[in-house]
Amino acid sequence: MSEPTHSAPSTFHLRQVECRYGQLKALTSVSLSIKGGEKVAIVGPSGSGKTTLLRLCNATLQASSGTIEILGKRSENLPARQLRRIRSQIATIPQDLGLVPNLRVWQNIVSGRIGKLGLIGNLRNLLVPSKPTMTKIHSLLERVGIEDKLFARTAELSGGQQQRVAVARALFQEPEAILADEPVSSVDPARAKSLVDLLNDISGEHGITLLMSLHNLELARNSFPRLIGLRGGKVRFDQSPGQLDPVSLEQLYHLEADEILEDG
Amino acid sequence: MSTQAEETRLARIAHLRRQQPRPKFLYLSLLAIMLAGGWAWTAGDLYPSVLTDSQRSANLERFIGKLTPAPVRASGDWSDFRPWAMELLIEGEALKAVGMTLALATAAAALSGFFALLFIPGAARNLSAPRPLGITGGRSAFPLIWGIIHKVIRLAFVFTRSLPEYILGFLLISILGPDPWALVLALAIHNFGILGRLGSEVVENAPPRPARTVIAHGGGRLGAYLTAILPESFNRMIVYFFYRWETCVREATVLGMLGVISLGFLITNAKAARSFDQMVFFVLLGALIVLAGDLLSLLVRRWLRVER
Amino acid sequence: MMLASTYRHYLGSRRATLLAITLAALASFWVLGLNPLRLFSGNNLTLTGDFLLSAFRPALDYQKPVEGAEPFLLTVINTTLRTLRFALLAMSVAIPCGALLALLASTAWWPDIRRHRMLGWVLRPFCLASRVVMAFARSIHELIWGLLFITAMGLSTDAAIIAVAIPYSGILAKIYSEMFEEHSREAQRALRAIGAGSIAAFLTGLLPRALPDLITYTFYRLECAVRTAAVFGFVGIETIGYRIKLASDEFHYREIWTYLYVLFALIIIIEWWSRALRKRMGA
Repeated sequence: MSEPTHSAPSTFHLRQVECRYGQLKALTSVSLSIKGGEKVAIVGPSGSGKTTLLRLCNATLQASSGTIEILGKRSENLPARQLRRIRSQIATIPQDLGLVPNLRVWQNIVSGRIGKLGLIGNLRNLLVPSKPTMTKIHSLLERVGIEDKLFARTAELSGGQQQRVAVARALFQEPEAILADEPVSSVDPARAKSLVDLLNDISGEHGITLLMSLHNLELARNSFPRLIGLRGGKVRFDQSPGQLDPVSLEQLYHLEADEILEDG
Repeated sequence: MSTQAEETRLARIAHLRRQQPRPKFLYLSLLAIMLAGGWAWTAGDLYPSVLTDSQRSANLERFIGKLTPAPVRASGDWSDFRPWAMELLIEGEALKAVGMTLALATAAAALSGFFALLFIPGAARNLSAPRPLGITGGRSAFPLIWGIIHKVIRLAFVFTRSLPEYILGFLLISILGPDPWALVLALAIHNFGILGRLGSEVVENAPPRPARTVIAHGGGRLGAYLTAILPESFNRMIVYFFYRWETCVREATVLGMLGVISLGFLITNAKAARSFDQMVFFVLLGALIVLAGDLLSLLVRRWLRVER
Repeated sequence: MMLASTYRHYLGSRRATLLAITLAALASFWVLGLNPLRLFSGNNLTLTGDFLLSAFRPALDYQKPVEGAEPFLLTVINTTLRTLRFALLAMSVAIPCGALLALLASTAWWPDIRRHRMLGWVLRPFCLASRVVMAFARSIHELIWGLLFITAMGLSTDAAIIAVAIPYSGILAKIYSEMFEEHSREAQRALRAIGAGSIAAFLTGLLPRALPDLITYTFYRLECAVRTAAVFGFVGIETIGYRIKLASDEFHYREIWTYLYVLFALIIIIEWWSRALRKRMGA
């Protein structure tokens, strides 16, 4: 997992995808393709379909129409076991982090491989982990910067530290891709940048595809080589920040173009 | 084969593990529980049965045989059930007993709730301190008094809670005679402790700001309690009240076994007369009102939440 | 203006509830014929006074010594141990049964039934059946279960234990399943999203979260079981209630208080233990 994969086939490939919740159309005619190792930010106002898009990419949601290929496999109508297999290859960091506060930090991290092991293996990891496992977890915690919290109870950590635990869990999973849903909406700008940089670095080091939904446009523009803008369930633009024109951005958020440029 | 780097890491991990306080108490507790369980199961018989196995199965057969209502057994027709049931309900006073049971529960719950509310401020840590809610005022005239009051009331709550209703009822009947007061007081005293404890927790966890405002404006503890804390925590207190009321209904059906009005009295009578069909009828009737009480409690909980 | 009217409406329903409760209480007092003055009649006051005064001098020896009987304190200790044993036995049956019923009644560990329709058809009846069993077991008081079993099969340890275990299983199951439903599912969902099976996600994502509450409630049930064990003394098992009945027949109030204090001590110990555990579980 330590060499970047250059000629990887597309990790995510969506073709004319539509996703409906009852009468509400969350996504309409979305087509995009994300290659292995790419770093992509999905931006857009609340309710534009960012979370839905992410959920389609980790196969926790089915499209109403259109095709979705994840890691080269079509994800519609798959039996449960294959669906779980796909999911185990994609790390998801939800907005609420999905950690168990009572457990120790290392236990939360060890649950990253829950999709790849059987029940016995998981129980073993959770209760009597092997030395190599603990070593790996410790090195991951070192990578995210909080190695001294290995045995701390997760509830005792600050919000920012818990985010890093979630990142470490994602890393422990040894995934092909990391999906992060608004990981920085509740932290201050300095911490936000630090976390986004961390994920970007990790993505580069291991060649893991990174797909992150962000509310903060500035952060996205400064940190990602590719931005996908969503509004009202439709893709409005899909290009690098340099190619973006203020008009597209304005249409996305209905802000004055000048204001955006001034903040940057 | 481990390299130098791995060795260092393992040492670091071991160091971190040592730093974290081990939950010895938890492990000891687990051990104690398992030992206690083992002791309970292996220490011999609690009550050596005086009946032989054949006597027991004979008893069981006789019991099951007499379960179907008498007229149904005689005629073999279940339509005889209704008149029999009606007779039990009206002449046999089963409906009256149901009413009495509910009245016992309600009276006891209301009494215990009322008195609990009176004493809760004394038990709640945030109100009964010399400096209520952390507001510094002048020096309290009797700083120690509050500590004593607080501890005494809490002790009273725990003590009354530890007295089982049935035993309390028994003792009160021996003092007051077969008076409904005995049962009401038995239930009320026990639940006083429980509601007191639950209520003081609610008060302690109430958001302090409204109460602090009242005190800062010159209202005393009582003022803060009545106008700020109680209204805030009303919903939770009512939920607890209904939860205990539900339990009181359950207990009230049983307290009748001591010889006073309620379903329990009818049950013991039926048992003594060996009319097992009637006995089971009354038992099921009791189950029905408990279930109804359950439902009412649930509805109240939903209703209050909806209002919120 | 919206705020004022909703506030008034909110207050209104609270006042209505209080009024309803007060009226119901007054009606109950009337129906039962409760007259507070009756409580203070001469004889009652004397007996009550006697009883309460004995609280300060609990007996350390038989109040009327009997020839050849074992030392009083030894009886007290034996009775206490019996009471504790009864409670432990009943709980050791009730806890596994309650846990099983709770798991059957809870949907938290189910896989996605939209994809596994067949499984849904199989599991739902179990879920419903479990809830019905729980409700029925709970609705009959343990003493009445005891009475039923004893009438049917005669008094024995097994009969009494089962009689207590049935309602207790129902109550434990109800509370356990409520806890499963109430605790936040965010960790469970996150684990499912990375490929965990539904049972694994439940065991790793939900159970550890709920565990402190589960344990605290189980200790509370143990406390109740001790009280129930004491009460079963009135049915024939030689626990604290049995001794209290004997002492009461002879008006040995001080002996009664000894036993009440012992019961109190047992409950305080359980309560303290539960609180110490909860603190260390960091909930």
